[in-house]
This record gives sequence, C-alpha cells and structure tokens, in this order.
Amino acid sequence: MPQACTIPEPEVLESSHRFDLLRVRVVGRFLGWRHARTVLQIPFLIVSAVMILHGLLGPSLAPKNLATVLTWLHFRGLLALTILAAGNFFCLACPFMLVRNAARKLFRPRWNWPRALRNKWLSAGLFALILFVYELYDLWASPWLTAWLIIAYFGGVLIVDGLFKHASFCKFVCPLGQFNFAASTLSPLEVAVRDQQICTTCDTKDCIRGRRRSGSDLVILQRGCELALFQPRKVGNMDCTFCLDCVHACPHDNVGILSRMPASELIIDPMRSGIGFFSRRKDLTALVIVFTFGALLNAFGMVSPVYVVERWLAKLLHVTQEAPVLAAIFGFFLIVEPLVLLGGAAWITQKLKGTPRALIPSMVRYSYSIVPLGFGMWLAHYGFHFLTGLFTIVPVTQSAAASLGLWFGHPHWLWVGVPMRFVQPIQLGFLILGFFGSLLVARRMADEDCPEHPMRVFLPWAAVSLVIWLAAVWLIFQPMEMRATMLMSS
Amino acid sequence: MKSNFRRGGRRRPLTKALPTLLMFSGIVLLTVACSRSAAKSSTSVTDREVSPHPARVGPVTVSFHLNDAAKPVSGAQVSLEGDMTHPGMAPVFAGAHEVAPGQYRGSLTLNMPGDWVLLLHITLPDGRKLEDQIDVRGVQSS
Repeated sequence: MPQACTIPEPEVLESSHRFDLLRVRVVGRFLGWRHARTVLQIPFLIVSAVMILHGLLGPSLAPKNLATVLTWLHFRGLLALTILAAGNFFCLACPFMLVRNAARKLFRPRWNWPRALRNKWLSAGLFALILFVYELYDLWASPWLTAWLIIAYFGGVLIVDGLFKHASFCKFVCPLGQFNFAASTLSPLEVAVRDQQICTTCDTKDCIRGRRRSGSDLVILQRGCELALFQPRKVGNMDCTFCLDCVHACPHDNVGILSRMPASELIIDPMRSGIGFFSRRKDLTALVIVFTFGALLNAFGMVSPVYVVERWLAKLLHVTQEAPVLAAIFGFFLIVEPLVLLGGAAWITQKLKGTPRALIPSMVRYSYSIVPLGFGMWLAHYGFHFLTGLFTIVPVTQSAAASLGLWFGHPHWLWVGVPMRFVQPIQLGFLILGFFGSLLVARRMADEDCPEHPMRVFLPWAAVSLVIWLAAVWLIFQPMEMRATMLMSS
Repeated sequence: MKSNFRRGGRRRPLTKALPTLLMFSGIVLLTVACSRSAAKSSTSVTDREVSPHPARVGPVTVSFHLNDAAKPVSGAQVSLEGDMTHPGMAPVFAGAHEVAPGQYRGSLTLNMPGDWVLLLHITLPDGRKLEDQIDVRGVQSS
C-alpha cells in the first residue's frame, strides 16, 4: 500500500547576490528618484485623457479611434510583454493612482476596507465580469464604450480610495491589477530586500510604516507599502504594484528590483507578508482560474466555432438574447471545466496517495501550476493583436491630428503590422513556454511536497496542463471571426 | 547609503501640475470636437446593396444611388473602403464606377470572416466630400 507524503515546513526565499535594476546607472538612478513614478504616470494620464476624448468625440469606427486602437491592441500587448520581460511596471505607471493621489489631497479616506472583503473574491469576480462585458457589448468595436470603461475605472478608483484607506482599490478591487499580479508571478524581476541581515537589525520598519518626521509620528514624509507587504517577509510579486514606496522609505537603501527565477514564487509555499499561505487562499485559486481559463475563453470568443456553439446553445435554451447564452459559456469555462479538471486531478492525486492534503487544499495548492499556461495564452492572444496591428497607431494618430488641424501627413491606412504568418509561430512559442513552465512548476511542487514519489502528484497535474495546452493550441489555429453580433445567423 | 538625490529636492509634488495638464488636454480635445463640423448637404446615398447576401469571404459587389433632391448625381468620384470592426486588421480598398446616371457600383474583396464596415468616400462633382457607411455583419467563411 502506497504511503502518503508529509507536508514540508514552509520556507522563505533566501536573499542572494542578484541583478538589481536600481543599481543600473541611468535607469536605477531614475527609478530611485522619489518623483519617478509621477513622471511615468503623467504621460499615461495624458494618453488616457486623449483616449477618453477621442473615444467620446472621435470616429465611431474602432479601427480609426485612438481609444480602441490603444486599449485593445497596444496597451494589452505591451502590458503582457513588459510583465514577461521585466515586471509589473504598468502598475508603477498607473495613471489612476496619480489622480487618486491628487484627490487624496482634498479628501482623506476615513475607513478601513471591510474585513469580509479583504481577499480576491470580489476582484476575481470583477475580472470575470469585465471579460463578460467585453464579449456581451463588444467593447473592442466601440470607442464610446471603451472611453466609458476608462472613465468608470477613474471613477471607481476615486470612490474606493476616496472612502477607504491605503491601496484598497489596487489590492482588493482592480481587475486589471489582479491580472498583473497573477502574470507577474512569472516575471524575472521582483521588488525585494537586498540583504535580509540588515532588516533583522532595523528597528524603524519604515518600508511598511512609512518614514515619519522626527519628533512627530503623525507626519508621514514618505509612504510605506500601502498593500501591507512587509519587505523582509514579502515573497514574490503577488500584490506588488512596483510603486517603489518601500524603496524610497527604507532608511538603509536595502530594497532593490532584483532578478529571480520566474515562477519560483508559485512553487514554494511560505508564509507571505500581506497574503499568507498560497495553499490556504481559495480566493487566489479563484483568481488563478479566471486568469487561466479566462485566457482560453477570451480567445474562444474570437474564433469561428464559438458561433456554432452559441447557435446550438440558443436553440437548446430557447433564447434569442445573447446574455444567457454567453452566461452559459462563461459558466462552463470558468466553473464547470476548472472544477472537472482541477478537482479531478486533486482527486486522483489523493487516490494515489501522492499528498496527505485533503481534496480542496490539494486543488488549491496545485492550481498555481496552471498560471504559466494561462499567461502563455494571454501572451499568444494579446501578442497576436499587438503585433498584427502594431503600426495602426500611426495612421490613427495622423487622422486624429488632422482633425485638430495638425498635419502629420496623409494617413497610411495600409500600415498594419507584422504579417500573420510570422506571428503564429510566436504565438505557438508562447504556448510552448507556458506549457513547459506549468510542467516545471507542477514537478517542482511535487518534489517539494512529496520527494519520495513525486510522480504520483506530478502526473495528474501534468495531464491537466496537457489538456489546457491542447485546447490553447487548437484555439490559435482556428480561423478568426471577429463578429460582434453573435446570434444574428441563428 | 542613500543618495541625497533621492531624498532631497523640492517638496512640491509633481501632482500639483495635474489640474493644468488635465485642463490642457481637455481644451485641446474639445477643440477637436468643435472643429468637426460636417458640411450639411442635401446629397444623399440611397438603395445601398451588398451582394451576395449574406456576404461571404471573397469579392462582394457594392452598389448605391447618389441623389440630390431626388435628382441623380452623375460624375462623382467614389472609392470604397472595407474595415473590420476590430481594430488592427488591414482595411481593403477599391474604386467604384458610375454604371447608370446616379448609380455607382464597385467590388471589394473581404478577406476575413466577421463584422465589416464599408465606407463610401464620395467626392461630388462640385468638389464637396461625402462619406457614407454600410454595416456588413457576420461575413461568413466562403
């Protein structure tokens, strides 16, 4: 009879000599400047204002409007590629926080975020809701709705962070931030302490408390971490917005932007500051599910077979409205399919006595192994739109400038982007990278949890990754069909 | 040790410049909006047709009538543009010719299934410009 493995003690990542972006001559000096974030946010704020105004007042045709072109082609693609290549620098440059900081000079938040909502359930739900609204209202095809989405974001930030202290919006609400947090677990850079020994002798803890005026504990000169990540106990990029407040607050100059092995934070399961144990966070698993299966779903919405499925469902449900059909598809992709795949793998793992964990804890622990696949799918999808539409920003900007009376030349509407035949191998590359990343994470988790017989854990979860990967590959080779009116042919 | 560069300097945050920046962006873009005054014209496009119907990937024929107070308008220069509703896809272009007084026809090749918008760029004989739009939903694979 096979013996169950024991759960090892949680470990904490040891600091070591690593590459530090803040030590790089020009970039490091700039990022170390206390106004660096504001300087990065201002261009994003201006671009956001331009997108809102062009979305509301400019051409109604999406390919000719800056709101839709920048949001659905360039922003999403650049964001995913930046996270892959470096880290969560889009949260660093987030324009919503600039507006929030300005508003907080007028209105001081009074309340703490409700205890019952201090988790990812709400934000994972909002993430799924945005994906749903994107499909239902065809946001990609509507500059006007895209502009209102950006306005709603600004409004949401101002309301939430106007009422609640700290970075409640970033940590508990922002769906885009949750995407960035999940994806940046695979980034090669993280904000981390340079030398843990220095932290053990530090008695001010400014990285989390903030730097205060001497003699007056109430006057904060430099904010500490608003997301409750205490640097010496912080592990990885989850919940880290790269705001660099801890860098500026640390009196010992002991916080850097350090290199690390991508996905390493998914494998280990230490007690993390501001988060706790990954293996006990069902809400984080919900976020991982929306992140990974939502990636498949979002791509599925743009290929021909979705219309066959929708017509079939509409007939089955006797409906002519898109919302219930779409809700059924979302329910299948985000609830049924993950429960069957992840629950099934956890059940098999338990039956093989690969882990002593119960069914749900086992499912929660190993669900993180599918994050690389999810990110691979997002990269394949967003990378496709970004690369194939890379140059469209040129004629759209020329056209917008011309309507202002500024002549930047005749718009070259045939400037589109990289031909699809070159992009598809890149997409496949992202998926292969994600697949091997998931296999590696599952294998390392199995080694950590069950060194005696890791294959009992690894094989069921490798099978889950294989199923998701095959579905993703099938999706990217489907003919695209960018249709807004899904049920029109029924 | 931290450099003075990081901690020193002025205390006025750059966010003070925020209202000015927002106001500037607003004024610039509202100017755009106000300057977009389309010339009023009595000329109209009628009897728009796209064939085959429903449209499929491949060549489609676009025909329409151009009238001014119920009189056909001859001698207009017409170009056709097809765009997908999703940004980032290459538009397709073609010309259109007058096949009867005030009746114009052209052919475009739609190269992908999905929703298309056909734009008619019309230059009237007196030099005025007119633009019209035909939505072609659910173009299917051929």
